[in-house]
Amino acid sequence: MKSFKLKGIESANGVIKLFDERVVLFPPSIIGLLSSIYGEGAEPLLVFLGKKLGRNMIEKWDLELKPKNVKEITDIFTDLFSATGWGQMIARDVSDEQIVFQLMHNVSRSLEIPTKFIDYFITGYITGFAEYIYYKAKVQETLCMIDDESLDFCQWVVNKLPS
Amino acid sequence: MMKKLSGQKSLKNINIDSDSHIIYKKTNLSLVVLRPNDLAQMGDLIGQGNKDIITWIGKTVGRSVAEVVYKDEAPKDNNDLIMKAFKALETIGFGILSLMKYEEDTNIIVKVDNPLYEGLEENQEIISNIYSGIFLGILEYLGRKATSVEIEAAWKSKNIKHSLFELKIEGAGSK
Repeated sequence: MKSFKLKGIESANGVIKLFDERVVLFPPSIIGLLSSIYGEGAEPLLVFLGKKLGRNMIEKWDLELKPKNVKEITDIFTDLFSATGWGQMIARDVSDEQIVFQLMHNVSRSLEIPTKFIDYFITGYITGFAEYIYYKAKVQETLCMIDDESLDFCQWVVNKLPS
Repeated sequence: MMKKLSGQKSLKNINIDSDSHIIYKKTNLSLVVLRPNDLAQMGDLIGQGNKDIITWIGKTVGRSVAEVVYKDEAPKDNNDLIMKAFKALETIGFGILSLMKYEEDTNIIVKVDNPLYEGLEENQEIISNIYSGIFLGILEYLGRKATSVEIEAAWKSKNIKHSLFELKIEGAGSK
């Protein structure tokens, strides 16, 4: 167990800021709660929500850290994602056409009832990022540790679509 | 890991475990980083009018925090548990929470300085409903059923910078 550290994070008087933008630490179970209200109907809602978050986050960090190419911005995305509590994200086969993301230690597994709904949210999160860098992209979860207990990661394949 | 993001600053009482999960102290309370606007947008998607669901989400957070405090920090009594839960909420970014009045079986008044809706241009009421839920959740954990009314709010009045919640206890009982 290490102390939580992140560049740009500050805390004072009950306010946490990340690069001057206010953030809050919230239990991820909120995603599961939404799913318990909406059932399967929560999937598009969570993808939509994740997409907004992913897009907003990468826009902000792109501005702050000014990456030079797809590889660098993808590194920022995976580092940021891993630092924000969802699990350990890595990117493989990063190119101008495709990225494969793998998520180890999906936070969903740490919940009392592991839920696939967090993956829908993460699909949206990755889509927000992918549409920022590729403009149009297809994001598909191809492997899931929640569905297949023999796996120790979830995998998403991102393909750039012709615009 | 890319050096650009590697840790320069840390948050007191917030840890990250070997699985990259953010944890409050050494408890089992997992946390993720969200922006207040993300919470407001979640609430907005649920539906502005659907106060009960948003309050319910807040309640689950309040109960989780109360449970963690109860197990981890050995509060002396209910008042102490509430104060420690407020401190935990302050640590995870909910602003400064103060107990302005505490009458265990009648009513409780809570002041929130630097509320999460500060800086939002819309959906502030959703955040207020989350706060209400959190307070009700803490009280529920203590065996108290209550109602919550936000009697002062910065998003309603330009002259103040805080929120004030009055919690009226409906029943008695204790943990």
